Amino acid sequence: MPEIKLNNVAFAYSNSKQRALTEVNLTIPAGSYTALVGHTGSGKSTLVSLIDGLLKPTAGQITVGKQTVDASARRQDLAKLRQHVGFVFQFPEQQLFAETVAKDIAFGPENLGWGQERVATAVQEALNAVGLPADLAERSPFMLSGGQMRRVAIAGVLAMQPEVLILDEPTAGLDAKSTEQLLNLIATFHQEGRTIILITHQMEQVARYADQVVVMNHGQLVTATTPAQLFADSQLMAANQLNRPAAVQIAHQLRKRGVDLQAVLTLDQLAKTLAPRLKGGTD
Amino acid sequence: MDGIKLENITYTYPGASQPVLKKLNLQLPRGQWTTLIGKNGSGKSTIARLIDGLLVADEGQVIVNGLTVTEDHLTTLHRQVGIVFQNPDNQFVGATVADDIAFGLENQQLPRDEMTRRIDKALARVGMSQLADTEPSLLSGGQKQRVAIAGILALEPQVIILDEATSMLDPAGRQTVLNLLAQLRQEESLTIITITHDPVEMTMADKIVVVDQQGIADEGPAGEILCQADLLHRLGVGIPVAQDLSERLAALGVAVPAGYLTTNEMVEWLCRKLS
Repeated sequence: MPEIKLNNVAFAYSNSKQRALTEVNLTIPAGSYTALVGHTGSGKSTLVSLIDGLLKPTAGQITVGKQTVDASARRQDLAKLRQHVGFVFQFPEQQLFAETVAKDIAFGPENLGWGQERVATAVQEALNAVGLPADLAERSPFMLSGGQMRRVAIAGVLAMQPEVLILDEPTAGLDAKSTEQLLNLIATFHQEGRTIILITHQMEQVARYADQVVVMNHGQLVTATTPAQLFADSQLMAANQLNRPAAVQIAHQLRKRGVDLQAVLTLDQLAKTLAPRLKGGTD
Repeated sequence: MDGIKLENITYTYPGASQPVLKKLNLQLPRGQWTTLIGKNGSGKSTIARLIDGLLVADEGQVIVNGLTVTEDHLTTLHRQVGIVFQNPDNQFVGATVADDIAFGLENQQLPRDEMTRRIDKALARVGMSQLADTEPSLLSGGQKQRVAIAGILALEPQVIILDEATSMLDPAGRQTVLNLLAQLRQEESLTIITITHDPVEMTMADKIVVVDQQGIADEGPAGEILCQADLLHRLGVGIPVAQDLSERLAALGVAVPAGYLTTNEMVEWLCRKLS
């Protein structure tokens, strides 16, 4: 399992004098579930593109497992990062192109030079992993629902069997049910031992799943901490334009009104904390 | 006649074996915010398109503020009804934000200075005046949807329909758009129809209509629909926060108040019980 380490990483896009990232130091432990938050343009996408070897750092070093790249890295070195990392872009279903679901999923593994049999097995396993029935394999991806199309796109990344999975706003545009299914799926990938890096605007998702949360602002890493510590820091939240999860907000309002309450992150925890007191009340 | 009336509407998509809407009847009063909810494929978007005349019913009639939706009335109708769709990127034609809004107005053959006046006013309403000369592709999702709404406001419509128009926006962008709608309805007595899965958006409506394969499964004041947790789960839409908490407490054996509570009302109730 690869650990990810960024050491003094900076990056500037070639058409811009301004740095998109400055002096980022970060460790993402192997097998962690790391959430990446910050408003639009804060540098989240640049950061994960560097981890995936899609961009080369202007300064500093990036290590994924045994592979380290810096400003002098060649194309082949960057490609080695990608052996560990799968990247699910935003609205990935927009990149589906093949005439059948199976061919679309097979595209990545085939490009890795795998043999026919290995590719076929990988496609089957990936379809299964995203919870799509095997008989969808020969259908056109364009005839599926939005939630299904997105799962096909994720299967295409999973089929390459990455140890690190980066997902950029994977639930954007999905309805509540598809969102819930997809989040459960990602949690399963995590339990199976993969490192998850989730870019999200939904603080509920951070509260429920992440063990580490990284806050970005103006190309700088503001903090890498636990969700509990982040949500307890009102000033830090406000300064980075982050909303508190609903449960944290309600708990905060209750505390302001004099109710003594321990820290909670999710509605489930809030309900479990409150229930005994509401039942035992003398009201 | 005021408001929107769908009478005995049947509609079948070309090539489909079953009608998506069958003898549907629905009334939406003028100046109200109505939200349509239902599973994918239940016909919510079809209703929106019938109101805007983008689709024509096989049977029955649609009346918008006294005007029957027919091909002859389409020009008048499109001045009265505007739709904003889900994906902001698919809706732009102009090279700048102002050009894009001008495009919609060109069909109306307005004098030049009237057009300019309407564009300026519409951009001011959505808080985008400073970005009038910006290329639409450089805007954030929330900004794009605000421009799309400005494009419709410039037509000075009486009805505005948002078909999952906030679903691709981040929470901040979504809130900006929803606040804008609430403000517009107050100031201009616009009739607003939104189609959504989002619980926050649902709580802002006056009335919620539940659409399913059989037609209108239920309709009523937002509070009445939002406290039916089973129904919301079945439809696959989001559950409002207070309702979610209330359900979890009930499952743990707490006697919770019947009916829908807003988040503030929930906090009030908890304070009373805990103090």
